[in-house]
Amino acid sequence: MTSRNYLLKSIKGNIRRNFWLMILFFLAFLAAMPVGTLTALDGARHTYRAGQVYLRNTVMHCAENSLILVMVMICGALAALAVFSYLYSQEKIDFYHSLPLKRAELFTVQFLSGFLMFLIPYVINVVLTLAVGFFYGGVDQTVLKIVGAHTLLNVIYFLAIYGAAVLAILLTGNLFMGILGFFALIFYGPVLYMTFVRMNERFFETIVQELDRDSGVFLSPATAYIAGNTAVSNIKWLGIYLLYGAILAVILILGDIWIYRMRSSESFHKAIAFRKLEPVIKICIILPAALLVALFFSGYMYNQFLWMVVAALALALVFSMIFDFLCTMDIFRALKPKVSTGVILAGLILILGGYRTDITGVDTFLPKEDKIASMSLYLPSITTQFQYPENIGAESPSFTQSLTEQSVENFQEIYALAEKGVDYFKKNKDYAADVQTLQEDGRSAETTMVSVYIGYHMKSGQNVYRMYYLPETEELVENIGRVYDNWEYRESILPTTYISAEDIDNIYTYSFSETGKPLTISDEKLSALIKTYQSELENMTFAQSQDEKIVGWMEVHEGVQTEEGSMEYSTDSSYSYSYNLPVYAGFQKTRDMLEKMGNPMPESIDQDQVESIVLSRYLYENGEDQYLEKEYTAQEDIQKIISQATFGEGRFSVGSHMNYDITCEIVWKDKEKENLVFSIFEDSSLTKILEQLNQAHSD
Amino acid sequence: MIKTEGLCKRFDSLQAVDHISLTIEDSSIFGLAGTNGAGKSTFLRMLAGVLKPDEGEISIDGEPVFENPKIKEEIFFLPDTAYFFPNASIADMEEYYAVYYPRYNRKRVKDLTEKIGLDYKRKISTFSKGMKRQAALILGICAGTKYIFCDETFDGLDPVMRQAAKGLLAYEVANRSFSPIIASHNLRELEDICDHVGLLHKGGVLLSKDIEEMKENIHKVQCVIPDQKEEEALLKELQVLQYEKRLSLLTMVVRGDREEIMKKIHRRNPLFAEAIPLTLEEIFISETEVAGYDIKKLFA
Repeated sequence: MTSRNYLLKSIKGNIRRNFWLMILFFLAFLAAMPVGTLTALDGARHTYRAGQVYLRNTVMHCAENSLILVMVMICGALAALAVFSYLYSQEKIDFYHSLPLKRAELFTVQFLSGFLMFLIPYVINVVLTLAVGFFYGGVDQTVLKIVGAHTLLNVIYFLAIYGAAVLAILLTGNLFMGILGFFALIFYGPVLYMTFVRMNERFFETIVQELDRDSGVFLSPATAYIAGNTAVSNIKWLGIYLLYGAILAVILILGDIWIYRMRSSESFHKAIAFRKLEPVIKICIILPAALLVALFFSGYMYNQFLWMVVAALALALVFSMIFDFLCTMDIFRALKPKVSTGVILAGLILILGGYRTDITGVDTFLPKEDKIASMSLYLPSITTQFQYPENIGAESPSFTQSLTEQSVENFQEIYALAEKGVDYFKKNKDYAADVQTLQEDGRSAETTMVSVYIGYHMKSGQNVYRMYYLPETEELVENIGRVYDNWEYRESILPTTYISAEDIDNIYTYSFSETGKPLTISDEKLSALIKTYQSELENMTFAQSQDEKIVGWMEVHEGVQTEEGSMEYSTDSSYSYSYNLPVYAGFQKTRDMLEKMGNPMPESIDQDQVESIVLSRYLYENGEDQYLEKEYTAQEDIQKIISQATFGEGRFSVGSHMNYDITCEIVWKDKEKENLVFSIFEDSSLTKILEQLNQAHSD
Repeated sequence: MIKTEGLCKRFDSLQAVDHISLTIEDSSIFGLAGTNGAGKSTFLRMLAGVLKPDEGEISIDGEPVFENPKIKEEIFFLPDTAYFFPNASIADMEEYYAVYYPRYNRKRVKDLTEKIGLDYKRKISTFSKGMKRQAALILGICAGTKYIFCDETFDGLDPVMRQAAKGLLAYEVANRSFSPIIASHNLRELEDICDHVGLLHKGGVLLSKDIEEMKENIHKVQCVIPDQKEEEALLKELQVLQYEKRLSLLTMVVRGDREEIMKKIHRRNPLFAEAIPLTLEEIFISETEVAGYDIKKLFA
């Protein structure tokens, strides 16, 4: 029997023979980790006289150094090459495969050797880094957790990348093809995904792809690793990336063992170790590669479809010849027609034809209502006008949040919007999905386009997202109004849904009479004010929002603590955040309360205090923007203007009567008082005044 | 005992080994002759469990060899270009092999390298080609395996070392259960060591016979018979495989019993008659000509 501890002895021998590589790994990690941390900490201590928080943050930033990621990936490739490159040499294969070991046993010896060649120097350097951190007083429990998480992540993703590199060696027969294979395995997923996304963007007008971008990260160990490294402070996401990396590593290692047992010893010097896989690999690589390069090429040719087809077919032929040459090292054999090349060309024609004719009906997708469980809607013209508390994560929910998190089960009116979108698309085959193109087409001069994002959440569990540009017709505005008036929808988009009075530190009010005046009230009164405002905002219909003036807004300040459970880098994790809440003229109870509190929001501007009003606008004429400005001092004009005065803060832009072109500025008689900027409603009473503005001399 | 049945191996369009059926008895030195590309190396690689046959079966001591560590512990494969780890000495390689071959005789490695004059601790990469072959052979012999498969092992050795190497193998065969299989394109290298030879050509076996058996039945004789008619009668009377006449000297390769042949020659009143030793090449020429092959072309 072979020596019982042959595994240990063989690994020891392998490591001894590749000791130079281990030293190289050690030095690289030494420079990036302990030495990097030492210089950063020493610099921090001497330059900034930093406290413990800064020092520990420095240690943690050193642990997440992206250079370590690159090094781990390179180590994975080099370690694989060091222990499995014998598969490219007949002499070495004769040597190793004649030993009294099963293939799986030999694989285990080699694989573990490569892993330990990385693990030993890496772990030593982690310990050294922590020692340096301890010495400078920059290590505590949080730092240990973060460094531990990074160590685990690096080891797991080393295994995944190392496993991929071994797979590349097993599938190929020479070093050149092995290197190409490694890059193909690492980048194939992202390239395939990019090709898919670019093709969709190129051919489909209504598709919304951003929602799938997160899952694209998991198509390559490298991208998942990079994403995981930035997610270490978030336990949930860290867990997902660690789990993904571990599963991927296990799959790759098991796959490696299986392929190693299948791989014939005579595969050295072949391009692809498995002859039968050659056409499969060729098709899988060349098809997306030809499409992607053709997409870029046709981009320079004004996206003309003909050029894209020509480029894709020509590139497929060239790439096929290169691939065949690499496999045969015989130019004449490479030039001979092959079935696989024919399959690629046919595939390209089918794919391009399918995309061109939208054979799957992507742009006209409209499922039957009975197949839909719920729908979601994102109207930038409404949602982006609101501002939200910090806990919603942004100033306003992005369309991804709106479409994925805010679904409506009573979706008939949203469905009606979707029908309008599909119908408009069908009737406008030269549909242009961006406003710029619409302007170039001259359509926007008389038509305001409204963007509508719709999410279909099917009973089957599938989610489909589409985006339409629709002309702002009365019918559309009414439809949107009916959606808004559906409480299920409105509840999800109103900022008051997410406000908690306890989180509010201060409120400042802005009105026609005063700007930025702090509200000095007790917590109880503040709570009552927010409750009243909430009630009035929630009860306001879409029609009211269209017709009523916005007479001011409340600027709400809240102190924010970072999310509990997250491994944040700083202990000083609180900061201040502010957002605005519009106050409509019809919010009588809110305005009454504000008045009692000493912060009134009058419905109109006190004409007696106004000396003049300056109207200004930009006018696009003769290919250039002209700035026009006119000052109105006549009391009649001032009265007409201030009677239509409204703030634009928080006003929905769809169905709005507000004139977005004109900016109004009040010059007060009291020169000490800061000028007030506001907007105006469109009204026939202002026709003459606006004509005067349009005739004004440009500045 | 090694037994192969209908063994085949194809590399793309090349049929490297084509239905080889051979039986190699234990404790004999088996020579595997054949031209370059005849399939000797591929055959040995399959026997060593390096390559998996496409068709056919190999059994060594009644067991398959591929993925069978138990049987592979009884096999040491010496390819035509042996691999040594970079910077390794004979001592390092011996240490490595000892992990896998349970009966590895490390002391003997040291003794043999000293006897041959190889530096046990010197890096093998600094050795000459011949020295590397000697080192490989010593490392292989000392593995304590029952079988050693040598592919062109004597190629590159000087005559003295070649004899020493042959002596080593012969010594092992004589002193323990040991069966070397030696593949070579040079029949002269095999003839004085092998007791059984197989001839491969284009992936197939032309013949496989015991050398002594072949020698007993084929003889080379030279004679001078003054009477032309007597000479013609003699050629008809004997089972002549090959003959050549230079001036009056007739040289023949004749099949049959040596005594009987000489009696028949003497009956024709020769001026001179003697039997001379046959080379392995001559035996093969004769045997393969009978089988319809022109061996001169095979080994041209």
